[in-house]
Amino acid sequence: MPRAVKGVFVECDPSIKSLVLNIDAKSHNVVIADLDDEHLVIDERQVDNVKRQLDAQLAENTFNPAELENNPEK
Amino acid sequence: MSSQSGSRPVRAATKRTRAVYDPNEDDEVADLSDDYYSNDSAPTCDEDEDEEYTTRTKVPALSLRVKPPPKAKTSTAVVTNRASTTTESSIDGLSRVFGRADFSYLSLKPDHASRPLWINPIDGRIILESYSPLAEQAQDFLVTIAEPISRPSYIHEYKLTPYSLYAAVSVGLETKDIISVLNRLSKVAVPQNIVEFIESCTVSYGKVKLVLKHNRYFVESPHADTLQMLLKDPEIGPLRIEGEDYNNNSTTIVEGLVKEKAPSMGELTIPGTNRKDGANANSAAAGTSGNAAGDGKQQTVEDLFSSVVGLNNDEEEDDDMDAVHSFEVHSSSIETVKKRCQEIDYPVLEEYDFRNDARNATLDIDLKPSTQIRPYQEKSLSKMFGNGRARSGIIVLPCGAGKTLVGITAACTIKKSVIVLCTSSVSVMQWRQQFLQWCTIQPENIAVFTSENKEKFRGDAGLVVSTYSMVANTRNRSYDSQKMMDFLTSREWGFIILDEVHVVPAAMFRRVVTTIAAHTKLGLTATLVREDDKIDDLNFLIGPKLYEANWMDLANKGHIANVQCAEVWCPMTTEFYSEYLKESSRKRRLLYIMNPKKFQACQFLINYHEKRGDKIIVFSDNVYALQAYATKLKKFFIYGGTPQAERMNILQNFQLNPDVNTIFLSKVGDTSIDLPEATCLIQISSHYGSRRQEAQRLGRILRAKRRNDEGFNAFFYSLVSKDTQEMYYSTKRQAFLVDQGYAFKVITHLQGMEKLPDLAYASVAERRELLQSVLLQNEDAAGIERGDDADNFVGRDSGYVKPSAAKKAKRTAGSLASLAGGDDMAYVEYNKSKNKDKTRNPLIKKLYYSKKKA
Repeated sequence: MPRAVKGVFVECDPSIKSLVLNIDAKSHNVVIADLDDEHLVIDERQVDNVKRQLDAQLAENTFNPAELENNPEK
Repeated sequence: MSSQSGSRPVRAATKRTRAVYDPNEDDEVADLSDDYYSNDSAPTCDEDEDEEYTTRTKVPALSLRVKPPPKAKTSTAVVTNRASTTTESSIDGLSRVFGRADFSYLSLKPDHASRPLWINPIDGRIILESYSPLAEQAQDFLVTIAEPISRPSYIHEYKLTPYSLYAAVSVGLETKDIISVLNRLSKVAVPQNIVEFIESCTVSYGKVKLVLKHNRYFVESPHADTLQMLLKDPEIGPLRIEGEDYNNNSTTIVEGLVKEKAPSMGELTIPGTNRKDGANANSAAAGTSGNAAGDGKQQTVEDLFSSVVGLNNDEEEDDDMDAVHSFEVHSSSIETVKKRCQEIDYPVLEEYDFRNDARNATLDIDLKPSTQIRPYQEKSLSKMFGNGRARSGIIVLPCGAGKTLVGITAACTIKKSVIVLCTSSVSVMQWRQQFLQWCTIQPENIAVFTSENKEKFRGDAGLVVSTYSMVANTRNRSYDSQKMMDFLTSREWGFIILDEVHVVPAAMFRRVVTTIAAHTKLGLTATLVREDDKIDDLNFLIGPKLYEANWMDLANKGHIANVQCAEVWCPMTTEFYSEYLKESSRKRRLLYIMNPKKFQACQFLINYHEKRGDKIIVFSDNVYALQAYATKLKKFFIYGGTPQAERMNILQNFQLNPDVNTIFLSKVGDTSIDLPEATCLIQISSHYGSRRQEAQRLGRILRAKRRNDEGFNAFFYSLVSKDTQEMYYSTKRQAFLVDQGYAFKVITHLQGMEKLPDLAYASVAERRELLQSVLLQNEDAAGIERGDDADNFVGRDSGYVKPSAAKKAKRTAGSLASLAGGDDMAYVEYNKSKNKDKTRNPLIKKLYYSKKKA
């Protein structure tokens, strides 16, 4: 019997897709279908979670000039 | 009136639609504000609406720096009315946004538009509008009293710090002058706490000087009461000695203090500054005609500046102001005096009255008549020799702006024995050669002290060039170098030049500064930043920062090249990125450096710039990547392990051979290699977030030979893999250059890159292959090359590499037997039974010996 799952279609850069796949690798409950390099379908309930994790991971790679003033020895 | 009030709701309604933030809440907001008006402001409702808004909400038009368009203003007014019903604390809608930094309470001066400074009363930051006609003078003044933080094109930021004020005092500025000039330039009255801060920093600093003149040490101060206080001090007082007067004409003795005329620039001229030949006169004339465009007010300000900054003011001031007081102390008690002064918060400044030093022999050195120094070099030197004596300190000039010449000119001014310390033996030879090129010193008076050369100069005075590691070495020395060190430590030096001061560890500096007795210390550097924040130590070890040049200014005047900076974002390919996410942090490094897209971008840029006729240097910190890139693209590369002869060969080809337009360099190229041909830099990997490395690398193209060609631009590309750690480092690295006014363009896509013929790694299969080979590398490959650059070179004991090792190989004829040592030796076994004595592991014994028996 066919089963219907509600999903959200995501279009993103290849690198962001890799990040999403990486998030999925831990719990296997995020990605419903991996379509191609730039497109995915993910579980609707996980959207907020994915957004939050992506934000956190991308923030790691962003330099904030205020950091330099606060602890210059870093 | 009735008609007006009747029309009011309509007008309010039209306003309301503009004012609200969220269209859905339109009605609600409007209703609230209308209620508010009708309750509160009924008596005044017949006045004009707009006016009413502004007066009642007390939006002081002047205090709003960012003036919103009138519509926006009404909108804020409406919103605050809402807020003020609840809190009643905020004055206008924007103050909330500024938080603690809301300075609307400071009142602007009436003519604030013509004054260029804002002063932040909280942290002493000063904002300069550098488009103001007064900006140039204001800059000179600010560089003297404050630390330049950021200097892009239109708005500069400076910061008052204790160190910067200390430096200002040491070049002869007085507290009241600093405050009065600040007041003149500032749009608002100088805040009281800033005045207090300046006073507290300058009241004790620099008031007392320790001057060496006529071979005697004097404690000197323009304030007699300060000296009286020192004399009453239980430790310093007894150390005073009553010497006989050395100069009867100009001194008087009052209350035990010697009073005399203050030192002045007088007849001292810094060589190379008196330019009288045609070309320079022309350029000077062009400069003044440009200035003459300014009005008369500017003239008066200029006068004010010259009198305050103290460049040429000595004739006019009356004698009373100029008098200084001093008492003599014995040379043996200097350390005590210095220490005691530090304790009681009156740190002494050391000055060297070299013109009156007869004990140390004069060195016959002068700039060649053809040598001309540039205006900013002159300015920096005038800070150093401001009152006719030499002060110790640091001069900061960008790479390629002629730091060496500043050092040489200073040496020619002092004309005493000089010692120059630099970071590597390559720069030792460069300094020596520069001295010979620019000034009249005889080659036999220059001695070089490196591990290969240990010569002394003949005669009483001379010049020694050496490296920090040679002088600061604490391990055993060879006999020769020990003798040389004894020679260095036994003499008194007039002047010590410390090149690239930012690289040397503080401990090593302390050792150098204490072992070599020099009267004046001059530190030279381009980038006074350290990631480990040890810069502050330099203030006390060498002296205050005397001068810091503005990079943009020098570039505009053509002293250094104009550079276009760009950050090229290279997306990671999917397969590389998924590996990146899995790997440890060190291996990640290798993955983002070896990103095939980055490789393609590099190839494309090389191709593009070679066609334009540029000479390109590609920098990579990572040796594995360096080799991979260079071999794939069939270019020459130099890294730490490249033999000296091959290096010279490659560099010469790069300079002269039109077929070699690109070379790859590892960290070894960061500082010491001087290539004026290079016009384009591509950076593929770098030392994490090192701001200094970024600046030093940029320095490689600042001295580009073609910089004075019409419309010439040098190019600086930084290739960054997107969505990786590299983005973070890249932004951090750029911070220093951005503060110097460089703008980094971000290139997200290189037009036409895909169409490049024989583009590397264009197919998926090739990329997979590359990924495999990268993954096979162990973590060490991801590391950074060790040794051989300035950072690692200084201060590490193993840093020295003998470049001439190859020459020492001998070629001899011989047989294989002789190579194996079979010629003159016979195999003899002594004491054969010795083996049996060895204790063996019981297990082996059991296994082996039992078997043997069986």
